[in-house]
Amino acid sequence: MSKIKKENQIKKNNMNDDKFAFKSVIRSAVLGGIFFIGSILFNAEILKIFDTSIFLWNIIDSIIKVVFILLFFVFMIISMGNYKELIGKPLNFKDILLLSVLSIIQAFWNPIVFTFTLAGLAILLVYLYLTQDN
Amino acid sequence: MKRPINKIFIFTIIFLISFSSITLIQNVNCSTTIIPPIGSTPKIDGVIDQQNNEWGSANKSTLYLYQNLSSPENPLPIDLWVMQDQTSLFISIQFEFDHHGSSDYNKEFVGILISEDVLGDYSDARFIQFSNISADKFQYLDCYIDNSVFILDDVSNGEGAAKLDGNKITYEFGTPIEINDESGQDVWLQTQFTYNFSIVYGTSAVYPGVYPGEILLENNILIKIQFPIYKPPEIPIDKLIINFIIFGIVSAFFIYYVFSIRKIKDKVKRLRS
Repeated sequence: MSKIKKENQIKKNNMNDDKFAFKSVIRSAVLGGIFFIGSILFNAEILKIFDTSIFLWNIIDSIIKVVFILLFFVFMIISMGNYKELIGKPLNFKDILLLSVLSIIQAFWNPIVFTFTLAGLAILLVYLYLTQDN
Repeated sequence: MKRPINKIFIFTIIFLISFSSITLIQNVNCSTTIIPPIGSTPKIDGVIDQQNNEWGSANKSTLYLYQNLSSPENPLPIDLWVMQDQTSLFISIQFEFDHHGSSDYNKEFVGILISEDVLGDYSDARFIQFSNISADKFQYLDCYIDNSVFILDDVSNGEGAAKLDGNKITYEFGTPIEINDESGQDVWLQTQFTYNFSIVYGTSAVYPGVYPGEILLENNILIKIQFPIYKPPEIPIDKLIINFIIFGIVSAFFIYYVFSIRKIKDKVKRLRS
């Protein structure tokens, strides 16, 4: 293969990678946005599915709230990671901290949701750190 | 052709007999049920303020009190007002005697006995007991009826007042309904339930004493407590502000991020071209 052809092939591959990364940025951001809206509805207590004192329903209610916040965090971190990759910078500690704070403050009203979200975020961050190292 | 007509005829007769039996059973129980209208809260002071139409929305009727309900004779006619608001049931009783301010009526009392069911097994009693009617000195007593003995409650529920105006006297009672603490009342008045109320009258101190004891005249009514009017919950402004701040910050970040994506999109397009 000639040198020019090889360079064109590499350029084409890079463009495809960029295209894929950009699509991932948008898709993940859209999903993050959807889960954020869900989180507003449930965590701001605009919607109350289980307005009861039954313990089991309260647990399910808390789980739904935690899941919405964690999924927001996961999709946003994927989106931001790919975004940073597109502009040629790594996702730094400040970005992760900002996103973590923005996620955890959504659980402000409910101490149980807050605790479980904090634990979930800690697990996710440890997982991301370990996979990054490997 | 004849057989089906006979069958229909017999079936109709059976149905009519059954239906009328049910109606009869229902009517045996007690007098007509009063459904208290919802009105504005009256002041329990023993005065029916006609000018301000204080008891205007109440259900007004005439009730006759008898010495013996099984052989009703020489009744005392009383004007009875019944109404309720969101939290209380109000009953007002008005009647008159000649020389009502005399010493014969010095220790007059009127009470309401409340039964949890329509049958009249009374367990709660509220009395307004005068000690000196001409000086307007009275006491509101909330009692529990235990084996026909009146026992004064540690915590008095509701309120009562009475006032003599000439020969006419007015007694007013206010009783809480659906308060959160069930144990707080001897009979817990709840909406949509029917209770038997006995209105009693006497001229000697009823407490301490037994039922019927000093009660001279009585009659009973059924009262069905109404559903309270829907009151929309108050908007928690502080919660709304905190929500606006928290989710506003996250939304601002998200909007900023979407704009950043739009910028990078333009950059990627330029790079591709």
